[in-house]
Amino acid sequence: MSGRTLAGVFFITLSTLLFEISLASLFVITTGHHFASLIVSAALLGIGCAGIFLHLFPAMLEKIEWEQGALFLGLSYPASLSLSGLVQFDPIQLEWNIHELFHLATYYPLFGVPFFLSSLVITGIMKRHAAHAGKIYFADMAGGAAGGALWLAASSSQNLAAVLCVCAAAAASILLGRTASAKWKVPLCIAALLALYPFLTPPLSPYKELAQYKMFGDITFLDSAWGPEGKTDTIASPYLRHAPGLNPVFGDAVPAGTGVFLNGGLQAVIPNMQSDYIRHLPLTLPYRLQTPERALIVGAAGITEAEAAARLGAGSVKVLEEKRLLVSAIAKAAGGRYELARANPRLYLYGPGRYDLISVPVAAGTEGIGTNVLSENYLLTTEFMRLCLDRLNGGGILAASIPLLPPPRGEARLLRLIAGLEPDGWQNTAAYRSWGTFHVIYKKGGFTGNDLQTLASVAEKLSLDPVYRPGLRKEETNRHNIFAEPVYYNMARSVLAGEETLFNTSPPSIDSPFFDNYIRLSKIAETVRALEGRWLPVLTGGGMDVVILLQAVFFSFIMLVLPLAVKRRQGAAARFGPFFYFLMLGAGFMLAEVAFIQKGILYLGGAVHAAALVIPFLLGASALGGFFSRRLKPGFFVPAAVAGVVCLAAACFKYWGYATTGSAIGDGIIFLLVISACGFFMGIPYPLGLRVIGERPDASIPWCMAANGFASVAGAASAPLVALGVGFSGALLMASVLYLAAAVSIPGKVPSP
Amino acid sequence: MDMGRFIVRWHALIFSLLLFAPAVSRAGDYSAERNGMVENQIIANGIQDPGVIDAMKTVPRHKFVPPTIMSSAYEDRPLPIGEGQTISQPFIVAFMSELMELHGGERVLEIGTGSGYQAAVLSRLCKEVYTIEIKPVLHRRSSARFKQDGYTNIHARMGDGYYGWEEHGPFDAIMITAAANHIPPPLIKQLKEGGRLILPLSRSFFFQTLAVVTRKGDAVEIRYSLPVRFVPMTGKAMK
Repeated sequence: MSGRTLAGVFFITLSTLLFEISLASLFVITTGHHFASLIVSAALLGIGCAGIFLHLFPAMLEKIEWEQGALFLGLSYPASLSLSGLVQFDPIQLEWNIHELFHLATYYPLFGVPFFLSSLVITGIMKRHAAHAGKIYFADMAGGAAGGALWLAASSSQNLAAVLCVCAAAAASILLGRTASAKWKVPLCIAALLALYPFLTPPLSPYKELAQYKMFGDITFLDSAWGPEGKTDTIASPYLRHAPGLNPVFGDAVPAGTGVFLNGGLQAVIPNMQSDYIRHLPLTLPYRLQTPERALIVGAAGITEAEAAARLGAGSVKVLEEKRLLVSAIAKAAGGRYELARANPRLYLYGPGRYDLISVPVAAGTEGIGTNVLSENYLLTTEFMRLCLDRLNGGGILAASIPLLPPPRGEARLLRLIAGLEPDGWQNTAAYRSWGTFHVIYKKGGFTGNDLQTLASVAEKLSLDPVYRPGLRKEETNRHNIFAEPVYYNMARSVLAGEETLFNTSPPSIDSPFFDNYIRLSKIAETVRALEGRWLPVLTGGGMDVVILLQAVFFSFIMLVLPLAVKRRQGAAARFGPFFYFLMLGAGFMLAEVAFIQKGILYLGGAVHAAALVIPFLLGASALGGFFSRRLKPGFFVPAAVAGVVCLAAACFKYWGYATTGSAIGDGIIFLLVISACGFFMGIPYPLGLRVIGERPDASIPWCMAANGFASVAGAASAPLVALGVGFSGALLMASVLYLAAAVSIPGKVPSP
Repeated sequence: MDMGRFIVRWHALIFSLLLFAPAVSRAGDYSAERNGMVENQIIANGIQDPGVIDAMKTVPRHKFVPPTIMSSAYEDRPLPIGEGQTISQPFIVAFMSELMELHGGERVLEIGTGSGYQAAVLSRLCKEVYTIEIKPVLHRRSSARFKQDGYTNIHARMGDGYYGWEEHGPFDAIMITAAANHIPPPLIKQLKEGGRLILPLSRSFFFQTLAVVTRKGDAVEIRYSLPVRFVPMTGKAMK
């Protein structure tokens, strides 16, 4: 086989992966996070359907010209994007209007077609050159790695990644072309398409907070910027009044501030200096207890708190934020009024600094509050809070806040998390609530009698209700913000007594950093009753991903089983062994890859860096593994060895825990070395299996590739759910078990290369 | 019957139903649907105030929704009214009205006129209703409806409800029909002593708790009531 064909495969995969990531990020910006699942699931259908199509119609393998396939692939990108803008899916109406499921289903063919075409070309080439499976796999994986890296480079521009997708498909078409005419047609088609791209960006969902402010009118866009983390917008609006938990007896109107949004969600509000309302916010409680010399506020939402701290006389106040784009937008909007640091909080805190107060403030926006079940939050974990406590000076204060969201569950978890940091932690803890926020304060070394008196008098002035503090009496609670029963006081007592509650309130750890995952599957019916039948938040905060995944898995399963039925009717024996082997490999690979990305957020400094580094390193190492596979003979030991290596990686991360080399680069290198070693081994079984079945007279490479594609994407989509249930170590162990299952079902012998 | 004829007849039947069914429904005044709504959604869910029940029976909800969804006006759900806004579920309208504890002689301020339905219900329960809407289109539409149907005790204006309507204050009761980020201090100032402010409280986009804020001298008491959801109805519903 020629080098041009391999280069064609490289560009096909590069363009497809680039399209997948940029499409997912674009829809996450404009619509919501559940679209990432939808796009992954649509890819599942597209890839699966291509394999089935070639399995059912093998004659098409000879008829299809690969350069045309690549050309259509390039055409399908803008077509898919523009047509998807016409779909009228409204996720909120899904609760009462079943027809929305049909609207949702229309996205599958729209998003799935490019993946169908891509898979058609790759599968065809693989089938035609089965003896060179290792080389093709190398080109395929290398293309994927390059696509991931290119996305990171192109993400600072709105449409650059999308344009590059088309260019890469065009390059593939030229490289795969067997006729001279293609060389002229392709650039002409592509040039025409590129001109359309600026008009293809989908509109911002009206459910995004930014869209809500736009609807009220009188909005002024002060700044906008694109980057790997998405898009920031800085706006001024007379309706942007931000006063979380404001004391209701404060008599003046709250002046409008300047809002900084990331992907349509409010992240920080630069307060207006003309009013004194900031002194009447509950976030001032720890600063009124004692004035810190050095305070550290973690997260961009802490800008309001930084203003309050400065007004209450704090010495040095630093706001720490990990997202470069946000730091830049806030710095521009605030004009240097606040001291901002861009760093990974964990690494920053491992530095030499010591503080009198460390605070993790309440989110500025309202999107998905208390409902982001699948989102990792490495800040509200036992390990991070312990690190904060360790970096406090004697008598220092650790503060954390979340929105108040009855019935109490996140509040119970936060209280347990902070009070459980030390054996006598309950003596050092106090918790208060306003009408809309919940605050926990932990004093290193414990509260004095004066401290408790100060807390009580400040809380009274701010109209806050105590939830817990040493010596608190029931009659002191539930006086300003009144529930029919003192549910929050009762919650604190029951947490303190160690009673099992309806909700899962165990403190999150870095192995399972899902703060909003409070549902116990064994008590799901009681939970729905406690939420008074309101299941929409579950739907929007993670349940939607499950609905999408189930819908896609159902359709794909039908598609995969169909050929089996057809072949049986035709009297042909369908071999289940190879099918199962590739199914296990696909699921195992993606389960591990997603777990690596989620774990990489901790060690590589943020989700964007994790995705952008893990994908190229893992796929690049797999490409090398695929290349190396030519020297190996198939057998039980290959997938079994992969299972062992993945298992070792799980143990390595578990042992590594929260430690650090002291530098971000050092941590990153160790992490990438571990996953690259895994990637190398994980890249071997797939081309090895293809070589085996390619030599057989009853070979059904397309069907096996369809099985692998189906399992890969199902594995990717279900990986966060697996991690939610059993943690990242559990997810990696499960991947290891899948590789073992593949080892048991590995296809029979193959002639030596 | 061959399949072709069967399909043609089937389609003809569906077409007839689609064509004539709404016309049949529109011909009436929806009194049966309205009574059904009151029985099944209002009384059955615990609303006891006879004034509120009577107002819900009297005010024609279907006149406050766009003509295209008039036939759904009495269903147990919120409905889109354009401009990204909704008319609340009937039970929520009744429940919030009951929380106001009105006796007939009060002066009431409503923030967020929307369709005008809530103001129309309140107008049957108190002396004067002052209502403010921020969206010009909705303000024009609801004002026309008040004028056309003779709601003479409703006074509507366009503007930012955050600052209330000081010239006509203080009010016996104030109702905010949109999720609030914080309790607007100007509105508390415009409450009479012992006056009640009803609003959906929470910082969450999807979860709120209806709260009753009572002014007691310089202090304010907040009592949580029913969990509700004031979803900003947008998306295609806007079109």
